Amino acid sequence: MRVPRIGLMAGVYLAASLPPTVSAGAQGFTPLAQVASATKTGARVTGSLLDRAANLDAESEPLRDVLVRLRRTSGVFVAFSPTRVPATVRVTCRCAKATVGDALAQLLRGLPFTYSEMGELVTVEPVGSELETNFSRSAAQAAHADGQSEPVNEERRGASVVGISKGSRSVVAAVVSGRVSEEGSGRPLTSAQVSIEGTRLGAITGDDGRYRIVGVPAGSQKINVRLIGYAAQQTTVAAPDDGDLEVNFVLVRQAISLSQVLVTGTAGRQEMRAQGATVASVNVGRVTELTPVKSVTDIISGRVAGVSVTQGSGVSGSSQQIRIRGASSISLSNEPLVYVDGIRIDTKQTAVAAGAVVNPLNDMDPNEIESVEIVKGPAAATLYGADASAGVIQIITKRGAAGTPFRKTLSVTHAQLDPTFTPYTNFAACRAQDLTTATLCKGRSVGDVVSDQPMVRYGLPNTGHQTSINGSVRGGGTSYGFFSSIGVDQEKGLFPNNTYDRMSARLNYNIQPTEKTRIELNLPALRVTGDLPVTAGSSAGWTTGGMAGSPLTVGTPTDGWFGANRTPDAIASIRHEINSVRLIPDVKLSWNPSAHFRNRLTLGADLSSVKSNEFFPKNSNGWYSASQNLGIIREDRRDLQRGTANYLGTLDLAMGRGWNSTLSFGSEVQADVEDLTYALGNQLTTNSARSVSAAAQVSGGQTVVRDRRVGFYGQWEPNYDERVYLQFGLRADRFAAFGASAPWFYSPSARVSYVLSDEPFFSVDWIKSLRLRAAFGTTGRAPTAGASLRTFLAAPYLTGPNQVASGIIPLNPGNPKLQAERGQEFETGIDASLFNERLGLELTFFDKNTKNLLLRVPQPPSLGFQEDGYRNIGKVLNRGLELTARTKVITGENFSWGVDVGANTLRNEILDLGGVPAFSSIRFGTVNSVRQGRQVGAFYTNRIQRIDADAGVAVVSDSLEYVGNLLPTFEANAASTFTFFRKLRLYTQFDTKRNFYIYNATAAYRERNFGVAENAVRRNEVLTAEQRLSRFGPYVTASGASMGTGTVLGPYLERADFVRLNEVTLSYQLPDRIARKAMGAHSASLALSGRNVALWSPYSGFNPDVQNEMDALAGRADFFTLPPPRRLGVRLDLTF
Amino acid sequence: MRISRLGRGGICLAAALSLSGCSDFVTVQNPNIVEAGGINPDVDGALIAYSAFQDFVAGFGDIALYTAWFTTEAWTGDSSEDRSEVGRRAIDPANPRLNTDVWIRFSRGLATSENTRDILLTASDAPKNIHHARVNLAAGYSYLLMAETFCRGTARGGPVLTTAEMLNLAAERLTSARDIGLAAGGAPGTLIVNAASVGLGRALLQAGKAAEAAAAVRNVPANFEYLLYTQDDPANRARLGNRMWEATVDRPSLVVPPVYRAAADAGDPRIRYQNTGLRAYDGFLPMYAQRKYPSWAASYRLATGLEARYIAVEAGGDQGAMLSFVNERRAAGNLAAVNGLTGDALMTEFLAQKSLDFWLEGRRMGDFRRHGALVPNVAQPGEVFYKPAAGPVGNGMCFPVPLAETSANSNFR
Repeated sequence: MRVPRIGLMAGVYLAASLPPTVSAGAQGFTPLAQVASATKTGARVTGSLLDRAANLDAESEPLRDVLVRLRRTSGVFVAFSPTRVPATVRVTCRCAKATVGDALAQLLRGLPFTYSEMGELVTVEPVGSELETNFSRSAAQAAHADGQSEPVNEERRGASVVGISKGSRSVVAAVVSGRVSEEGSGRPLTSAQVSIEGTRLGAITGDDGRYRIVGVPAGSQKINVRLIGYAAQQTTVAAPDDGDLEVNFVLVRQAISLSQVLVTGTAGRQEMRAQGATVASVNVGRVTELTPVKSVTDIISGRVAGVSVTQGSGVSGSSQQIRIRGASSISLSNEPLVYVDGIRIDTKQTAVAAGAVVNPLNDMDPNEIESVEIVKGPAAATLYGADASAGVIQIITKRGAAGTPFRKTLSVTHAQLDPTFTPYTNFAACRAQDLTTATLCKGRSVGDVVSDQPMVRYGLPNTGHQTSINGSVRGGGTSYGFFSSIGVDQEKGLFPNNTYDRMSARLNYNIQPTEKTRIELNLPALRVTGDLPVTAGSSAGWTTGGMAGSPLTVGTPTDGWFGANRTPDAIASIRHEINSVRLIPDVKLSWNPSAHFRNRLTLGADLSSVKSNEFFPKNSNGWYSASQNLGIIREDRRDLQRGTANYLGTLDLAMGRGWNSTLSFGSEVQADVEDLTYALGNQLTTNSARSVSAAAQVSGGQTVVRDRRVGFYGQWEPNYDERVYLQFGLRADRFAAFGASAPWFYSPSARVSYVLSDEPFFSVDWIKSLRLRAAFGTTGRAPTAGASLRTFLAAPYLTGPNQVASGIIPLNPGNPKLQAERGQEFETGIDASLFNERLGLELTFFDKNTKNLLLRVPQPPSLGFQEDGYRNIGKVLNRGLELTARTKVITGENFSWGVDVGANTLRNEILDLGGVPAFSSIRFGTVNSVRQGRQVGAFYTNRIQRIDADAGVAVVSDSLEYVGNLLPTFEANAASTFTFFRKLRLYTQFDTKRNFYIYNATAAYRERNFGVAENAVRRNEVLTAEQRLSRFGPYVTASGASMGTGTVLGPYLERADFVRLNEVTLSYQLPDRIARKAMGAHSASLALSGRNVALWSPYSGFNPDVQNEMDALAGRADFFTLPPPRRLGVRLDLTF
Repeated sequence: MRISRLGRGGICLAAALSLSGCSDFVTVQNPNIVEAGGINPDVDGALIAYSAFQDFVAGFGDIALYTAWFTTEAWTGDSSEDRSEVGRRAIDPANPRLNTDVWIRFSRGLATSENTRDILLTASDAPKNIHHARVNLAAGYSYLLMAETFCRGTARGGPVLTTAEMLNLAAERLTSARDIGLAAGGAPGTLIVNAASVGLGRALLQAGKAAEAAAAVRNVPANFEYLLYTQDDPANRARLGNRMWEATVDRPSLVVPPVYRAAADAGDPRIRYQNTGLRAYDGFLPMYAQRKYPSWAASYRLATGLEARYIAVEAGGDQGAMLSFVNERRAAGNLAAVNGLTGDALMTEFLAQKSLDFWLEGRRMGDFRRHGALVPNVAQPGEVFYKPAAGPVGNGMCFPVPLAETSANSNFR
């Protein structure tokens, strides 16, 4: 381990240059008032601040409160140290007509304080070094005199009055500032927490890595620095009694940072060493240093073992699917819960168009995010309730801290989007009638094969581009901190009608009005507008249009495209626009009456309004279907109001003999109102009058869904000597889904963490740290309100021509015994830092059982209900190993090389279906099946057993047979970072997924349905007899029955394994003097990057890491899915 | 850390209040949902009966469409292989379209009709309750269409029904509908009586009970029509709209085959179509669009006096009468009379005229089940399908009960 470089800079402090700030951290530091140079201790000066009217009356009120109030009533800033003025001291002052000086004299009479005027403020300071003793006695006396039974608290032990004043006797302190940078690269590290041990002084580094703490008590002080992904550091300095002290830190990258502080997965903040279950944390600053990212899913993709991200499609704005530790639910969502700063946000996806699903998670600007923590499963998710079995993602946004230097940052990214595919060629054989009518067949003979690719002829797909600009300011004042950011992201996709623009603004503000009280206010606002074209699986889209059309129509109005007269003009005229506005405000009120008793109340909301709009222009060209040609406009609006409130209380309890413990308790309440309305206009008057009411035929509808849930939890965490940590938790929940009579859902948890390397007897040189951990936890998953009720849906009926009345239709059979499904997880693992921190390992075994599975058991359709009701049956297993390894292969002054590797295995298996027969998804028939003993949604088909060439048939199995997995059983990623001369860095990231399948529906439909693939048209030339029969049949079962093609999908179920070069970035940190000279910035960096650079796979389609549907069962199908583009970009980051 | 007694009490009180308030908090009422307890059969008889009947109407349109494809009354111009399977008479039980488009919708109509019938049986005026008659009519026709279309059947998740059992149930319900309608009287009652009589004749003929069939339709007026109403409501097209029109303009996949176009081209007014000049939804077949149902609001004919005559003629077995009837229908189609036809040739011509008279009305499947190869212009097993990429025509004679039903209904195991 390298020794931190500490630079001490003796300097002359100029009082006038010191802003009247107080150092207080955003992360739990309390403010400390400061003073400047004392000039008139206890003296009154005519015309001075002390002569102003006090306008104050107080009757046995706490001194602190009175001093604060004096500021307001007099307009004079009265500075004092809250930590030195106990709350128990009460005072009385009839000072309505007194001056500020007189009032202070009266207030401080008998107390060991003096006051002085300094510049534009008045300071209240302790008197002399004997102060402590005198004060204790005086304060105690005052307290008792007021009838207070509580003894004087002990907080003053941790702080001292600071004063920085050249020549002042009684005021002694320093300003500690410096820079935190990374070992090897020398890059500034943003968001590092710097704190003075034993005090609540602290700061957070800005984007240039600098920090500043004002008012550090003179003498020996320990300074701690923490940052996710780096070894925590502590150093002892001698703070001078007058002047500046510069302390620079060089942090060492560390795979296993047991001192890392987590805010997720436990009640309250906690060091990783105390957390018995795995909570992964991603330092977003670190990620964006290495490679540009544009969304939250980019941040976590390929960076956390056990977290699988699959791209939906390559349409700009479309979302990705996130799975954590497999799929534990069959009928409910497997998407993790997402919290932003402790507020659960809505991540319901909106299908804007076929192949274009939008996830509000990606509305957030990554530049606003400090870190992302991922709770992988029930073992750590107990505190998130009976809805968290698919894991939890907690997004922690940036914030300012009191005393943090004011910094402005500007990030500009520009990227080019290049298609990663060449459209398939369409073929057709000329028929007799085509010889005169089809352009390509003229002059040819019957049976001649012609080919065409209309997309290529029309120069599609295009090159897209993306531009992002983000500006932010961050800093802090006397007792407050702030972070504010504005970002704009504009993207133009690969097709003419694909745009996706995002604007985000955020103000995070925190203030500490008193020592025990802290208020945080976060006000983010997001706006997304976009136009997302149809791609996957719809005839109205680009990819189907271009790859399913017939060459025989070249030269006709259809011109080789699919369907009606649907050329690019027609497709580009279709609009699928989205326009969303979102506010996610939250306020956190912390009240810590003592260092051992802390309370936090969080109130938040997620208020979103999403408008999606579909438009088919009126046209006389016959572009679309007959009804669409008259013009259609449809607008869907989804307004969500989600309110969240949670309370957390924490008590520290000393147990003796090295044992301490923390007791946490709290509750969480959530209420949702989702209002879905739509309006539909058919037969437009003109295309310019694009409102629903301008249509000849108008209709609409509305659905309102209310949902509520409430939970209570408690957690007890004893620890022994900060080496052995135990946690016992219990949560109880109730849901509107199950009705008022449903029992409480209890989620117990227990965890242990043992830092073996901290034991005195442990002395293995090559092991720096070693921790053993194990955890068991329970959580669940619940549907929305009303799931347990037998219900009908309002539906109209006709009694005659144009005679409509309101009726009903059976909806849900109901199940009064319904409960949340229960996920139980056991995990155990080790964390080790080896070979002088050159190798860090984190190895975890997890075993997650989802019991009481909430399954929409397929019921006989003949029962007449529209929905299958839920039943609690069955079990699903997710078991695997996760490995994270970080190595520093070479560490040198001018060259370093580090490699990070993450890998996980997954065994997903349906252990029990409760007697329910196997069933399949609807979308692609039997392709994805739910069967006991196999993965959720495993691929099945009537397998081709043999080819009977003599009979000219392919013989297939009588029943559906297993083909392969839906979910990869092995995933890994490897990131390599070369650093040259501290400034130049080359970062590459590879990822791989193994042992899973994808349904190549594109090939199946091109060959079997549209007959435009070469395999179909020239089957006799390019396919062997066996291949022909296997792809086209005819099929007979082993028992002799004829069989259609629908369930014989073997030729199109393909291995989807791949290795991908996902990210390559070359970045350069400009020398500071150049940054200053050229751009007037403190620091500047430039990065050239590529994403989705190259892919190797046996899959015959374009890209196996896509899927057509977001639903678990619909599974992984490439149905004319647009593959994700390659992004090549440049990013410039400036800090001012 | 010590907590004062007052503090402890406050915490306990807050917890108690919170817990006791939870039941109220988690009780929500969603305005779109009608809870079962909110329906009163005594008061809501009309509502539940008409609702059930509308379920039947919604399912009828799809049965008519899919059987049209199956019997080559129409070509499937759809990109979906699942629908091409129907046209190729090679439907896999796992075919998802068969389940979602046909079985689910159709069997819902049967289930809700039967459920409502059970409820109204307990009504004091059950023997003459017009709503009771209406749901019996819907249930009877549902069993009849299921018997004609599906090889096997079931209702409300119950036991497997053979064709004969379904026809028996159809006859039973339709007899009830006729009797109750007669007792109810009035114009609505008369309409139901005649519709039930035609359905009863159709069921009995299908069951091989020719004499009873002829008797059943004896009193149906020649000009009688029982219409199933539809409506152009963009918000409820799947439930209220005409499904043939949907397959004509919305997802243009109902393509008029050459033989029917030829009839129209020759001046037969019973067939109406239009060459749109466009391609069908599959991008392959030229879109010859039907115009028999010219809008979303075009009604279906459930039963007619003409059909009663067809039933009576076929059930009567008199070849002379049949030939005479055939020539009457040919005249209606501006076709010259034919002479000397007997036996299978006469039956084929009889069925040909019927297919023109009831084109796209869901009648042909029963004829196909009864007469097989005598039914003209049905794609034959092994022949090249009109969309060669989809494989040859199969030998299916009926629709399989979808896998979704057979796997979830334990009676099929």
